[in-house]
Amino acid sequence: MNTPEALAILVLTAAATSLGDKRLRPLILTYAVQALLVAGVVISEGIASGHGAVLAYGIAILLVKGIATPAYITWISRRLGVQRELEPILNIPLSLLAAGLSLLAALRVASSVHLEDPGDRILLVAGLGTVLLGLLTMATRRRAVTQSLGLLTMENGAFLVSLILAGGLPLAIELSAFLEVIVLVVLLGILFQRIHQTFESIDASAMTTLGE
Amino acid sequence: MLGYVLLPLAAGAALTTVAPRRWAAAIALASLAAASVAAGWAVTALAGGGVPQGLGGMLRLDAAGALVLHLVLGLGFLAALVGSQTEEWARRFHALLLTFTGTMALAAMADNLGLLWASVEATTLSSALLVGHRRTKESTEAAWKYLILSSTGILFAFVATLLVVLAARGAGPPTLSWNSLVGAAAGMDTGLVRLALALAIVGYGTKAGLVPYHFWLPDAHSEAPSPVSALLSGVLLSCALLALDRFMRIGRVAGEPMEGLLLAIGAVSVVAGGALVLAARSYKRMLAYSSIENMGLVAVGLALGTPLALAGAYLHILAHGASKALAFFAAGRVHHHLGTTTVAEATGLLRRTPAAARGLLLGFLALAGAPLLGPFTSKVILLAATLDGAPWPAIAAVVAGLLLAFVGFVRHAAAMMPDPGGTPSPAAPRFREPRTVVVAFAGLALAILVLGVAGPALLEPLLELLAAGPGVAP
Repeated sequence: MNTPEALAILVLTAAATSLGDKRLRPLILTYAVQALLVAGVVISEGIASGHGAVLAYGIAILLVKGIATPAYITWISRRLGVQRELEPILNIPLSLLAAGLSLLAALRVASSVHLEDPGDRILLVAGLGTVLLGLLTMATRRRAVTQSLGLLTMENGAFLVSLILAGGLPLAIELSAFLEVIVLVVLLGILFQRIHQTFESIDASAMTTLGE
Repeated sequence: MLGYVLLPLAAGAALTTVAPRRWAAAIALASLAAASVAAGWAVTALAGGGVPQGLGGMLRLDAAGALVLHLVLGLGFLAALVGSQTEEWARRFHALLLTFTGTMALAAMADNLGLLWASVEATTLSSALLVGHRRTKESTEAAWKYLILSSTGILFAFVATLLVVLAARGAGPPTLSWNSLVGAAAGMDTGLVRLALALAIVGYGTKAGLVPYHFWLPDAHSEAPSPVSALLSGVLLSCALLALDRFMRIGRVAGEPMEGLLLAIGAVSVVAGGALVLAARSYKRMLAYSSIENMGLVAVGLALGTPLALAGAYLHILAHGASKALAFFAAGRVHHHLGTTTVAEATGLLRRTPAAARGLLLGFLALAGAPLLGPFTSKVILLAATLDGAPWPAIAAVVAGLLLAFVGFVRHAAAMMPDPGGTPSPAAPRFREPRTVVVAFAGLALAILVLGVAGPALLEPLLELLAAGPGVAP
C-alpha cells in the first residue's frame, strides 16, 4: 500500500472516531487530524512528482483546512460558550453501529464497480466511507457546530475520491473547490453567530419555528 | 464570447459594493441588461448554427443552456427591479443578487462538468445570505438548513462528477468537457456510470428540491425576501435540473440510463407537491410546495428524455419560472402590506391590495394550469410525453399531482381574493404598488401569456436544436 491509500484509511478512521464522542473539543480535533492527513496526501504527492504547484496546494490545504478552520470553529464556539454536544439523536452505541453499516455500504458499492488499480478501490472505499460518516454525524447531532463539522468531514471524503483520478482535477477546478470551502466555512461562522443572536443557543434542534 | 455575459455581472457586483448606496439598484439593472444583450448575441449565433464558447472552452452554450440562461437573466433583472423598492441594505442586496445571478448564468453555460459543479455550489453560497437577508429568527433558521442541506447534496454531485470522469478513463483522453464525455460515453464503464448517475440524482436532486430530499425547500423559499424567492424557486431549481440532465444524457449514451429512479422520484414529487399545495395554510409556503410539484414534473420529462419530453421540460422551466416569479413578487407585496402569510387572514385582496392581488391571481391561475397561460401549454406537452412513455403508476401520480395542485390553487385563490362573506369593511386602507413593481408584474404577465399561446412556435429553432443534441432518447 502506498502513502496516499494509507493516509486515506487514517482519514476514515478519524471520521469514525468522531462519532464516538460528545465533547466538542475532541470533535474539532479529529476534524483537524483528518484535514492534516488529507494535506499530507497532497504534499507527499507533490514531493514524489516534483510539481511545485501541487506541493503549494498541499501546504495551502494544511494551513486552511488543518489549522485555520479548526481554530476558527474553536474560537467561535468558545465565544458563544458551546462546550459539549447535546444528547445526540442516536446514542453513541447506535451511531457506532450505523457507522459500521455505512462502511459496509461503502465497501459494497466500491466492490461493485470495476477499477483496475487496487489502490483506487481503497481510496474509493475510504472516500465514500468518510462521506457517509460525515453525513451520519450531520444527521444525528443537534448542535449547529457539530453539524458543520459533519459537512466538512463529508468534504474531506469527496476530496479522497478525487485522488483516484490520476493527476487529479484541473487546477482551476481544484482551486475553485478549495475557495468554496473557505467561503462555506466563513458563511457557517456568520450563520452560527446569527443563530446565536436570534435563538440564544446554537442548538439546531431549537430551530423549530418553521413548519406548519 | 460567453465571457461577455459574465463580465458585466462580475463588474456590477464589485461596483455595487463601493458605489454610493442610491446607485446600487441602477448598477445592478445596467449590468443585467448588458449581460442580457451579450446572451442574446450568443443565442443568435447558436441559432445560426454556431457554437458559442468562452473561458478557453470551459463554457459552451447549447439549446438547453440558452433557454435557462435567458430565464436567469430575465428573472434576475426583474428581481433587482422589485428588490430596489422592497429591500433594505441595498448595496449588500444587489451585490449578492448579481453574484447569485452570475453563478447561475455560469451553471447554464458550463460545458466543463467540474465548473458546472463548482458554479452550482457557488449558487448556494451566494444565495444563503440572501435567504437570511432580513435576519429574523425564521429566515436565519431557513438559511442554515438551506446552506447545510444543499451543500451536502452538492458533495454527492461532486463525487458523481469524479466517477463519470473515471468511467471515461478507458474511452478516450481524460477530460471534464461534457461535450467530449457524452461523445465518448458509449465506451464508458457501465458500473461506474450507474453509480455516478445515482449520486447525481441524489445530489442535484437535493439542490432541485425533489422528494425525498426537499426538506430545506419550503423554509428557504418562504422565508427569503420575495425577489430572492422568485429566483430560488423560478430558476435556481431549474439550474440544478439542467445539471442533472447533463448526467442523464451521458447515461443514455452509455446504455445505463437510470431513468426509472429519476422517473419515480419525479412522479412522487409531483403528487407530494400537489398534496402539500392543497393542504398549505400559508400562501408563501404553498408557492414553495408548488415548486416541488413543478420540478417533479420537469424531472419526469428529463427522465423520459424523448424530444417531446425534453421540449416540454424546458418549456415548463420557462413557464414555471415566469409564473412563480410573478406569484412570489405579488405574495411578497401582500405580505408587506398585510403583515401576515396565512391564507385565512389574507382575504379580500382584490379590494385591499388591488395591483398585487391581480398579479397573485394570475400567478395562481398560471400555476394551477389554466388554459392559454404558459404552464398549461408545457404541462400538456409533458403529459402527452408521459402518457406515451411512462409506466402507469408514474402516469397516475403525475395526473393526481396536477389535479391536486389545480384544486389547491383555485381553492386558495377563492379564499383570498374576494371579501369574506361579501361585505367589505368600509374604512380599510387600499395599498398601491410602486410603478417599478407594476412594470415587473406586467412584464411577467406578458411572458406568461406569450409562452402559453405561442411558446413552442417562437422557440422552435432552439427546441429543434435541443432534440438534435446528444443523448436524446428515440
